[in-house]
Amino acid sequence: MKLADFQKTFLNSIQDDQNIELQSLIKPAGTLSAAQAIQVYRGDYKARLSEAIGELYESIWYVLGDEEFFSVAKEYIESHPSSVKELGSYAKDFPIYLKTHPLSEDFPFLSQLAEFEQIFWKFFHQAETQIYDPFIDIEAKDLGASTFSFPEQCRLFSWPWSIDKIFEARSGESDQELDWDQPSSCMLVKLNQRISVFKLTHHQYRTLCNICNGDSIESSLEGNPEDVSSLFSLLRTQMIPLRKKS
Amino acid sequence: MLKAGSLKLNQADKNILVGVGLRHTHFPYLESTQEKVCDFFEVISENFMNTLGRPRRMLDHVRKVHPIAMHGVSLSIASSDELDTKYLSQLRNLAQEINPIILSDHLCWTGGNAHNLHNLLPFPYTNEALEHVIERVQYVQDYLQRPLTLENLSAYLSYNKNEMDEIEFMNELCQKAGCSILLDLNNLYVNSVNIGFDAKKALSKINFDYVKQIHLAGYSDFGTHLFDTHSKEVQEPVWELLKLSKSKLSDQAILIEWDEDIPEFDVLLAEVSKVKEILKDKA
Repeated sequence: MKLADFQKTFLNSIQDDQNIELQSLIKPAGTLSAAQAIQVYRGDYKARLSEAIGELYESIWYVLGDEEFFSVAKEYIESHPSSVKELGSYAKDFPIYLKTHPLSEDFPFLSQLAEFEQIFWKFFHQAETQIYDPFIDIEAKDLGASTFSFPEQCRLFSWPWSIDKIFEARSGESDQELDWDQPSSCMLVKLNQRISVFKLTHHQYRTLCNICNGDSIESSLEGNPEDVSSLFSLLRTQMIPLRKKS
Repeated sequence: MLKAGSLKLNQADKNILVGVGLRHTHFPYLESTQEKVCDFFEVISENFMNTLGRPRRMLDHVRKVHPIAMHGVSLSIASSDELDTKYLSQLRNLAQEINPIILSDHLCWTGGNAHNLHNLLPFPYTNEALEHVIERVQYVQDYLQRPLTLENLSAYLSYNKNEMDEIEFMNELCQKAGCSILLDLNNLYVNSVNIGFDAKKALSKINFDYVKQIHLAGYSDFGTHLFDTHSKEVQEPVWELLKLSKSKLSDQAILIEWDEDIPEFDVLLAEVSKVKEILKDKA
């Protein structure tokens, strides 16, 4: 038998549980039957991809629990054959898949939570960032008119649900009552080697969005003086590396 | 902390390196030390191709004082599909940066380009397959500008009309393509039980001129078959195979592989010391 034909038969047999074509071509290991030997590889494939999804989307596993998580992972694997070389790159479309999944009726935040965790891992694999006080060299009189750009490893989020809180709890026991029905805003940022999530008020989120969109500090400000003061204190003390434009 | 290097080999064994795999479980310990803790580290190539984050920082940290071997799982050298040029390019880039002492993968295929099974899959040991793999190995070596080392598999099924066995295939491949062998003694033992052949006889057929690296690991007995789990200490039958091989060893790198239920680093170093004890008695 030609190599290409054998491999085609092998692949078909892994993809289709009912396909028995490979059985007559092989000698199984040990005391396994041919069907059991093929099942070793079939099971391995699903186990490896499920494990990969579990590592990449731990927060979804936390929310759904074992049974529902592995069920949705299995469905995803069956409809999304892997074409990547590295398991860490698999399941890029999992957030989109969850968006229309029936489980999202019970947990409407699933897709956005998965997307948040995906960005977390993206930051994890990016080079470390240098931190500095973004306002250190700017005279007070010039600050209001200044505009800033955001570092690549910094993202702003605002949701109708407490996604940052769920994400934070992801490594804990999943039998805890989830209190996710509160709007929340946050900034995800890589500082040196560390990835941090900073909780924001909605006004602080809006202010940062305005700055991010190129508005001057003066015209970006939203909310009361406490909001503004604590936001700028956060940017300075945590040394969020905003870069002054021109 | 046990120092593996404290156990000196005989002069005759001075070129044999004994190392362990770089695994994230041990990152906190390794970050805390600047010392050389073993003769070399082996890294899974794919885990470092697409990252500039902590894994890459860790690799850069350990390679300041340790030689690095790169071991891949996705080359799919025996696939009948086209070689993945994007993957090869990433592999070449990483190898150029790391300058590994050995660049290895497995003598297997891992699925099709459109459907990767993420597994090390057996294929027919036929003359047609041999010609195909020889051509691909030569292409890859030219592309990477480095010699390629290929590992024997642990397999749970084999083609029932093989024209040669795995060792004959590997010896022939090395002779014609100029690559070398990563001899996994655990895989050899697991296959000998699963397929039903004499591991010692098989070992005697291997041309050690081609063996550049050796892997040692622990297997699990599932009752119906042995499974290559890399989840425990090296078992006695595998140590026996190392003892039988030692007179043929000269400048190979020997690795303790442990990928599941990974223990404290000390446990790995204790295994490294066992290897060095065995090699010390070479005479």
